[in-house]
Amino acid sequence: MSDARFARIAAIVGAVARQALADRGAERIALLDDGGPEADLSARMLARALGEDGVIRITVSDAEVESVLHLSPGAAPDDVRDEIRRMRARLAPGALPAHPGNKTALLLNATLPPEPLLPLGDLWASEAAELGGGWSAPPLVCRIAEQAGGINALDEALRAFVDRRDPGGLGALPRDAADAVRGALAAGRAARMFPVIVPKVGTRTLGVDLFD
Amino acid sequence: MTEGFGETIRLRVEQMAPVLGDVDANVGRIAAAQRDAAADGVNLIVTPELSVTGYDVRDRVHALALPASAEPYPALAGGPDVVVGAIEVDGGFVPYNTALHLRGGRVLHRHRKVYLPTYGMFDEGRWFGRGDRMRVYDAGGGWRIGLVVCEDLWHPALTYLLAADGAHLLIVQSAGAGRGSWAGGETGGRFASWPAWEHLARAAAVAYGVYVVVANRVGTEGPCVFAGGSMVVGPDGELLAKADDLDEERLTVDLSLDAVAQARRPFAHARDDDPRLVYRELERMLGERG
Repeated sequence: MSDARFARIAAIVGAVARQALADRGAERIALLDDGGPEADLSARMLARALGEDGVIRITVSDAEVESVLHLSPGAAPDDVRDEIRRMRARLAPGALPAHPGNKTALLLNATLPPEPLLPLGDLWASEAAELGGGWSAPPLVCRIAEQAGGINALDEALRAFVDRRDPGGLGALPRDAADAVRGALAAGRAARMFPVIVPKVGTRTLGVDLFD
Repeated sequence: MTEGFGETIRLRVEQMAPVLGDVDANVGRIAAAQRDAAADGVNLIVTPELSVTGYDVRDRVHALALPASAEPYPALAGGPDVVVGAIEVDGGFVPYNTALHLRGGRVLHRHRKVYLPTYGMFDEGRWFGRGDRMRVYDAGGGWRIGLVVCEDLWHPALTYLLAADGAHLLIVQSAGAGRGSWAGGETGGRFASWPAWEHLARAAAVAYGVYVVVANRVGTEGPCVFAGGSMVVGPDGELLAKADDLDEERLTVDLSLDAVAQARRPFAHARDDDPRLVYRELERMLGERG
């Protein structure tokens, strides 16, 4: 990992987060912590700008999930866990909820997290991995990455297709992977129409200049 | 108050972070900068684009605008000359993104931004009317100055017009967002978008033998961080001063007409320039377009 690159990105993410807190009269970030590498990376970047007290990591234990599963018969435990985490973040006093998802996951997942701040939302999964030591995404996105031949190949194609606006940008992918990307982008189109705060790091940024 | 410049100008770029929508705070901030500048013998302060209002004004554009007047901000009457960025409405109530050179609080010159970026992350065409003229003005001591705002610099025809009209100093206000922080800049800075600005400023300076001063803003609005990196380029194209990114900073540089003359003596670019040829060819092209 490049320290200089980490410092550059962290400065942008931190400045945008500080402004988001000021604009909303909030005091700290409530970061949805799923235990993934992006949650850890987000926490480190945000703490650098806001101090350790400026970030609360919202976690949920297995026992807590078990205790409420009966309230939603048939719901998948992981979905219940996500919703408890989300509720806790919303209810944290004086806090602004943030979701640590990376750009690859946000673009190819059918739904956009409702949290108003997506601190890593303009970092491709492979970029988040370079800075944070790993990447994560919902199962659908992981499957597409596998079809593509790996996350680096998928992100390179997405950079061409999305960032450089090259209509043939997905051509480097195997046909089934390219079709899966097109399908995933179409499925999430409505969810991406409403802007959230994504610190602008790259060329096209959700809610800033990426509205597809 | 400055009565007019001498052959040298002590110029200060005030790289600042305007507060979006808070005109009182921003004018107060600029007035404080004037007081500091007066103590430092500064003749001219340059602030960034829309330094009085903040950048992403959207529907507040009319609430933040002032009617074009001779003395729009009385609080800025007391110090050295200052170039501020403001929103003015004309007699038809159209708001313009405007650079104002104030001397003793009175407007010495105004430039309404011509090229309003309305693509990618920019939406200025939704909020502002488009300026329709480029004029150089006399600022005293023999100095002729031209003002441009941000995107205007990316249209070299505008700086050409100012050079052809006799400018010695081009002042560029900008609110350039930081982009490409993954890659970083060629010089190790934070933003890959920096080098292009430097290339543009230095190219204009060396081609026309003029000083080029870029005052870019810092601070954050929504998801965007503004890039800073303000600079002063000499008439020989050399970078005389450059600010860092993200933080407020001041650049203070002494400019002289003698340096302009020295930069032009080895060449004959200004002498040989042929605006009539440009005019003829443009007329032909426009005629062919129909």
